[in-house]
Amino acid sequence: MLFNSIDFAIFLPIIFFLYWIVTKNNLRLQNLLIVLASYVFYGWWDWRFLSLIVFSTLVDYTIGLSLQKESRQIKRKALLWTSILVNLGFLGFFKYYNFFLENFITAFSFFGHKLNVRHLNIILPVGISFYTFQTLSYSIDVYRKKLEPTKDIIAFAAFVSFFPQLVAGPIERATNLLPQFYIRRQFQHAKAVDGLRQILWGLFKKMVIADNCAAVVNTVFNEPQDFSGSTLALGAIFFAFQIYGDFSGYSDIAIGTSRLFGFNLKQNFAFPYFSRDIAEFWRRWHISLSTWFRDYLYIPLGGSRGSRIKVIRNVFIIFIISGFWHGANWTFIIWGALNAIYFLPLLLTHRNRSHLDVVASHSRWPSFKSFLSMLGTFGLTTIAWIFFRAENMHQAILYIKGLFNKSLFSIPEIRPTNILVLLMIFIWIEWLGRRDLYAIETLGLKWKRPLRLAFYYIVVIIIFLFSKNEKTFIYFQF
Amino acid sequence: MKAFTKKTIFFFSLLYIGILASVGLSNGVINSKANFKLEPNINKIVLGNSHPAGTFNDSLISNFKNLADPGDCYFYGYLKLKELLKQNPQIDTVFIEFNPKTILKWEDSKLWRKHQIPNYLPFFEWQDHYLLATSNALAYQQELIKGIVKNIKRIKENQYQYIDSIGGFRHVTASRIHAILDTITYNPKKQYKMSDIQLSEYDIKYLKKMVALGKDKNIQLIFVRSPYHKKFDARNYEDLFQAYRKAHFGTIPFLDFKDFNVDDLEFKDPEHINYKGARKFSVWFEKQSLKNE
Repeated sequence: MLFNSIDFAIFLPIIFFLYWIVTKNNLRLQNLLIVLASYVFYGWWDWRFLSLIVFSTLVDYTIGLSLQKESRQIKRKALLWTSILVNLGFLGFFKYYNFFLENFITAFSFFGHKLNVRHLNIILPVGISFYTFQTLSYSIDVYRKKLEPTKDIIAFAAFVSFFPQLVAGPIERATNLLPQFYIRRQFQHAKAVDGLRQILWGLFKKMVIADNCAAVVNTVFNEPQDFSGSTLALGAIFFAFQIYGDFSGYSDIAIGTSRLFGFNLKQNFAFPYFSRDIAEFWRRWHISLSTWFRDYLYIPLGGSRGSRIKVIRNVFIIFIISGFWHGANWTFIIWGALNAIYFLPLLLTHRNRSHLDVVASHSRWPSFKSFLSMLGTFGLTTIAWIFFRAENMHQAILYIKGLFNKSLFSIPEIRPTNILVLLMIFIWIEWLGRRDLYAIETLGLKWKRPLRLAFYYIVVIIIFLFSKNEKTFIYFQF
Repeated sequence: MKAFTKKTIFFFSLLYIGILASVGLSNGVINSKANFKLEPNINKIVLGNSHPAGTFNDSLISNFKNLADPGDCYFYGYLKLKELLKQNPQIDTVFIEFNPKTILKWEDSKLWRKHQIPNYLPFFEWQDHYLLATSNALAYQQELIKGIVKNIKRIKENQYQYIDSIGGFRHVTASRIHAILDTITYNPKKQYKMSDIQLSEYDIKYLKKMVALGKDKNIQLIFVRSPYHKKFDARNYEDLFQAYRKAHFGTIPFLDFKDFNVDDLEFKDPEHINYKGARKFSVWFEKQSLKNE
């Protein structure tokens, strides 16, 4: 079920009223309703893959309890590895089987051996990369004794399958989300209103910004050889906004929906395009994934401690795996590697934590230096996005070649004025709200009610007017 | 909880009341002023998609107006016909393009063709609203808002003239036929069966409505099939198309020009003729019309 579909527009109020009217006095019923609603939400797409979620839930639930009982380290390790292998095994099979197969075949043929192995026609279950990481975080935290394993299977199933963030995150840590299922939620008016506001902004980002940019992006990326450098630059910039609008829009809707049900999810995007360097960008982009990799991979590998070579290795590992997490394609790996290259100089010169606060935190405008830094960072990420968006390496290289030539300074063949105006307004609103959790969190709260309502109506009408026909979210494929 | 529910319902009610009121009011204004008037001598029109739009050069055919529009489906054909007949009592003959592709499921998706809903919104009947709202409620709401904006623009600019924006002869100069013929594989023996295809579910109902409207207004309705190339794959649907036509529209006269003699260079592509083909066809059509009169 898509957030931007009429199905969800019907589903959400039904579950909302059942939750707050029928099950409000009973914690177990509240959790059970969430599990059922989540399974319906997921099964709407393909009910067969529900079995994967159920299986993953049962495995990690059992392993969690066994880890608590078991005191011998070797057995505890074996239990942890069982969880890792089961979860990553599913992920590896559904997402990476054909990729590895193809690359083995290519490698063998390079040495003169022809392998005749069959490709499998595998459908990638929606959201598998997200819920797999979420359940893994539970097993690892229980293993590390950072979290008490739960005995409540319903609460655990609700944590694994919680529908607002099931298919595209944010990837919630068990330490943050699971305990929220132990306490009966009580309706809070302010929280629910705030949730609706965040949903509205998420829909705007997805349906107005991302989907409109997508139309230009698809045209340009499909035939990059037909366009001048300036049009290719425009296409890449539009993709930067498409991916941001799409994914952060999804996160906003997920967080807003969770708030309607009394839950608090972690912020997943913190205005990343206002970052002044790549390190800051990665603290602000897809925060739940970056911190997951930091805590469960980077730090166990040694992090930024140890020899220079080790630090470089760790940075490359984390960025490349992060790229590979997005998809079984060399383009994602190069995207990850490119970000590692951007990031390393900052880390090695100890400047990776120079921008911990939000830009222009005490002023209306950024300083000239900050402005240039933001532009530079945006430029670097946009170049990396080309690899992320390209279908294959050939297309990416063709795009980059076409981009950097004399025609970069010509007038673009495509001049989507409407979208540019929308983008300007969008960037302006995001800038105004950069100190908040989402752009319109506090915008207009002090206005008189009719003015505030008018603002929300305008946003709704813009969503209707400028949105394209229903489209899926990019991050569903990851 | 109560306050939240109340406020949310109030917000959405106000939104939808506003939308419905704006649609109703602006539709009313446009409906009362819309101009679909043709020249008084025009008593024959042709409706349909890109095929007749590029085939009937109405400057070469007497008392004839081409109002076909590329991409048009019967849904919009019906709305057009309804308004045209209201304002042009001199119309006595209506040609409607009817070919194998117009009976397929694909035609249903053309209900959502860009700009069409806002353009024709003032002329929708309840059933039309119901059909669109139930087949894709979200897209329908989006189109309603776009329709309001379009209506307001029309009212503001005092622009009620519709004839120029609902179709016309399409002068096609390009020809890609040779490049296309080099790449297509056409099997003349292949004939699809009903089990191989999906038929139009919604749009075809509007062809039936056009037929009923024609009968009601005592208009001569004639189905036509514009010329197409001997390698056009619509020929693979011929058997089922003829069976369908006889079963559903057997009583409607059918002028079949699919095999009209058109040279390769007079085609734009296998399914459309270009301006040269259109000239040849229209001159011939005019002669035939004069003969029959």
